[in-house]
Amino acid sequence: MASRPTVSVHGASGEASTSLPLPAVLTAPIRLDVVAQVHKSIAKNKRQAYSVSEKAGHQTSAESWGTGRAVARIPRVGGSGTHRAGQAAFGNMCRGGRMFAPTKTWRKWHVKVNQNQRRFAVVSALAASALPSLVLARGHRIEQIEEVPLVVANAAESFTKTKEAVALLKSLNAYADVVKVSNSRKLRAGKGKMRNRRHRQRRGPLVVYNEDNGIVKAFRNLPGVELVNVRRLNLLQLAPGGHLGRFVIWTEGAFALLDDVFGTTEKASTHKKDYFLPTSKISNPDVTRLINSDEIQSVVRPAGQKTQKRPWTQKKNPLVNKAVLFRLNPYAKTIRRHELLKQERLKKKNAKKPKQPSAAGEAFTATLFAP
Amino acid sequence: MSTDLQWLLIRNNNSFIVKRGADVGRGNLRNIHSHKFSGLANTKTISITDSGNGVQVVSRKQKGSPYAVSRATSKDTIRARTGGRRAAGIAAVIACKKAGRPDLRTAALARVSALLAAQKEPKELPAKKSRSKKAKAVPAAARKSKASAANDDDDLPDLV
Repeated sequence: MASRPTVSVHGASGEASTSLPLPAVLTAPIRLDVVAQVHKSIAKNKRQAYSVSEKAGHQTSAESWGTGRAVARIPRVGGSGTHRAGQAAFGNMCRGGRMFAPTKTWRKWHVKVNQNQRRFAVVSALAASALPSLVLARGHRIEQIEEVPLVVANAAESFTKTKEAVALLKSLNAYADVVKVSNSRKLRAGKGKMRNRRHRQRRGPLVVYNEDNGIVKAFRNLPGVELVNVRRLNLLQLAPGGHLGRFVIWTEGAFALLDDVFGTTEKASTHKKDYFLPTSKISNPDVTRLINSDEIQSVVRPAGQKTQKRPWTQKKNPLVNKAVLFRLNPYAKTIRRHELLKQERLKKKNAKKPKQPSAAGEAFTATLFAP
Repeated sequence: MSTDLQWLLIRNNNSFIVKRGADVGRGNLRNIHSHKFSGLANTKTISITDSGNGVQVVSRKQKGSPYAVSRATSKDTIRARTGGRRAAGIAAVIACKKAGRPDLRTAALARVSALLAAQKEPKELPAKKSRSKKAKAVPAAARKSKASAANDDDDLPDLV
């Protein structure tokens, strides 16, 4: 890397004032597969246990009738006087029976993910949130904002009114993303409606702060906006659904702290013990640049013709092509000539002779010229 | 970040994909889901849209920072009164020279001419002549009654 790029800090009215160097974590390798897999596991850790009742389907004293009654040997409810008497019970195929493999509360609900994998995923998601194309591809409306990552001055941390927060987002041209969330609010399909998940909506910007001097209360009522302390960045917020590129708005203090929280590839993090940023497997993943580099161009063979010529000439069919036939079999010429001569002779011999008119019969002429 | 890697990251999942193989993202001139036409995974892009009153051409500045979003775009507006050939020429120059994508020249031309064709007011067709017998019969009958009325008028003085 030649020189570390800088990111400008935007004031309350949206203008860029000072600038900060880009933290190393935002240039970390981006691994889509790691993020998706870690997200899938971490998302499971919030689940609550559920199961069917332990007793379901077994609250009857059914016993099998055994053989000889011309019915299946499934347990049957005893007694009389009710429809239930004599009906099959217990089995998963029975009406009123228990389900197959009844669910248990002691199912393995949580999934352990190695700490380094979790950190790798967070770091990847952070790096993805610093690329405009990935943030756009996730569907955030950031076409009008000046740059990504978007850093605002520390004054925003002491906002206490949502009005101020809206004014800031509008001046940054980031309010379009909040509007998108607001417009996307729809009634959820299914039972979730009655389980405190009545509406579904898109995700808006994630505001990352260093110190909460009221910023949480100022922003939290905006639809889709989430807030998080820079020390407690969370993959579920950085890559919702396992999809990279959340739109992140940083406060200046939080952005400056990133190198401390995640360290760099050379310097260990001060918040995580012995943690260094992962390094990319390839320093230059630009395929075009690699192909056109001097190192590769100096060792590859020069480009050949676009269309390769055949190393042999077109094969001709001697049954069709006379010249090739005579080259292969010189006697064929003689055979052919004889054949032609023979045909000529036969033609002459078999030619139809023109019909010679014959004289009419005596009787016929006599009748014809009869007076 | 190389564009090859970015394309790999957004190829399988992004919000502009249409399952039928299309891509409706901004800056995609042919709406084709491919690295070449992607408006996201390229450092040099050109987007041609309808601006309501003409055509708007937004191209990414070639020397813009990879982190800049709106700061690295430059807008050109082709007004509605600009003729078709001139508009096409402007778009071709922007695609080849300004945006630095000569490979997108034909795509840019096609999009501009498609937009201009869509903006054109449709020609008014002449009113269709009715071929039904009833429609023909009505004026004929009217003429007849009128003629008879005229005859009556002529007759009147005779009677008097």
